[in-house]
Amino acid sequence: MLKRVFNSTFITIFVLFAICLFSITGAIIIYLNPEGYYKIHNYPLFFWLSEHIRLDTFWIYINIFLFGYIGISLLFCLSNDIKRRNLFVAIMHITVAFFLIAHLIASVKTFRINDIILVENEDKIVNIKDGFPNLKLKLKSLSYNISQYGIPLNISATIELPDKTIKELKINHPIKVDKYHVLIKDITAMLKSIEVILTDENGIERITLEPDTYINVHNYSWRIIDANHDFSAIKVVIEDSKSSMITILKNGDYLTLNNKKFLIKAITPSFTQAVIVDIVYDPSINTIFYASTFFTLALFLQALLRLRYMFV
Amino acid sequence: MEKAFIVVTLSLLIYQIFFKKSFFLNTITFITMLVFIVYNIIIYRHFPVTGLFETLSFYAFCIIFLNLFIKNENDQYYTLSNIYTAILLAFCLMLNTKKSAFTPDALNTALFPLHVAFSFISYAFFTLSFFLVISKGSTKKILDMNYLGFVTFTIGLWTGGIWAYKAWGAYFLYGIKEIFSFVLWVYYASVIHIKFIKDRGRLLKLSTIIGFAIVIFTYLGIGIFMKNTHSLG
Repeated sequence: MLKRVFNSTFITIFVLFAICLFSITGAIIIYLNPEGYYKIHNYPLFFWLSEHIRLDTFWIYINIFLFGYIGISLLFCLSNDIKRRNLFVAIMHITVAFFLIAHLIASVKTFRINDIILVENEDKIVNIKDGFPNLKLKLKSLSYNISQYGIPLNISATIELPDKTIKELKINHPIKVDKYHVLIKDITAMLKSIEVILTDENGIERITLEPDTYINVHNYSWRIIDANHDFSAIKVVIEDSKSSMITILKNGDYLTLNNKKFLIKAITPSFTQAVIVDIVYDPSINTIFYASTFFTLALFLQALLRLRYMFV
Repeated sequence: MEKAFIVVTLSLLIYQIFFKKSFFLNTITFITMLVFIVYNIIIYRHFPVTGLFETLSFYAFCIIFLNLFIKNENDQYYTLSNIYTAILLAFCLMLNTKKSAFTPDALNTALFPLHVAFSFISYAFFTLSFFLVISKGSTKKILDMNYLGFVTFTIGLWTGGIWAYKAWGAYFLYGIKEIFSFVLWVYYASVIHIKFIKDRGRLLKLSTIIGFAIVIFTYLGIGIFMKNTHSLG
């Protein structure tokens, strides 16, 4: 009975058709509700499923069940291939079985952390998750060209790893750090400071404000709260022991402090370069790579051998 | 200039549809498209498989190329496949050929042309297998076409998976295009097993027709009408 169910090409074909049908349903569900699946890549699949017990994930459960059938069916196929001494087909079936096992492992263990910002020459300690060691990374340098359309090209970042070795990180060239893969997503800039130039009859005064830092000027404590997109205006809080005022500093405006009037001559921001990276932990990736490679090779070689009997 | 090549190819195809089909004319059509592809590589310094114009013309090129090897089929088959290729090229004529002068970093890898080229070669195999069904062609050729389509699609997915892992850190994403590509692979994996079933004729024909519908939806439906990681723009 068991053999009849699992060793049937007819049933296997219809199970594969059913997987297609449920996957198409899933694809449409995801397309219509992308927010519902927003974090699915960040957690192991089974963990994500346990956290999202919803009706619209039914297709994943059914597919897992159907792939279970395919997994057992593959073992029967494999025994048939061995009996028939069908080497290439046996390789294909066994690699698909490995592929399924690797996916099972990935569904329990694989996770990723998105959008980590590494600021140039600043140590960044990334908290991975419970039971996993933290990762210390440092962006040593960043180089890129800007295209005529303003798009960065040839992005290359040098990253200092926890053991002080330096590795080059590029798009399409992730680096391996401990158990993780680090890959570059984009470049960005972090605000380092804003220089405000004030003038009065006594001359020019330069004030350098840094994010989240109080600066003492004229017995007042200054701190940036906000800035507009082109830094032509910034919102600051200016306070002393008695009073506190929130004011907007704008190019060309006047500022009155201690009954003295200052002209705001210039507001100049300065930035530090940074890269946005993702960190991926996937213990099954090697199995998946070798299984898919051997599968593709066996399929290709089998096709080559059959080619002369085709097109006739 | 690109459209001039398309017009010449289209004229040759229309001549074959209405007047005379011959291997010689088919070879000339193929050479015209080959020159077009090489011209694009030289001028734009990338394999011409980005955007709708390039992919449609490459898809048409693959169909023309594969048709060189399909011999002894009935006239209906050649007429249908030529009409289909002509429609693809006519669609190309309506599109803007203007290309961006730079290649984004993510596309600067040998895996990109391999992934796209093998995917379109497989689409061409699946398309021709569909026309064999429609024109009541030989079952063996339908099986062969589906099988070779599956082989080339697997190579396309394999290269795409490696590239995706390097670029995104994941060989598979839960996106509509990726899931449909997975569906296409599983679907044709089951279709190539149909040959082991008795009385396979009707099931094979029906599944080849449905397979072609999935191919067209995966390429054009999702590529043009749905926002995704593979949008054709």
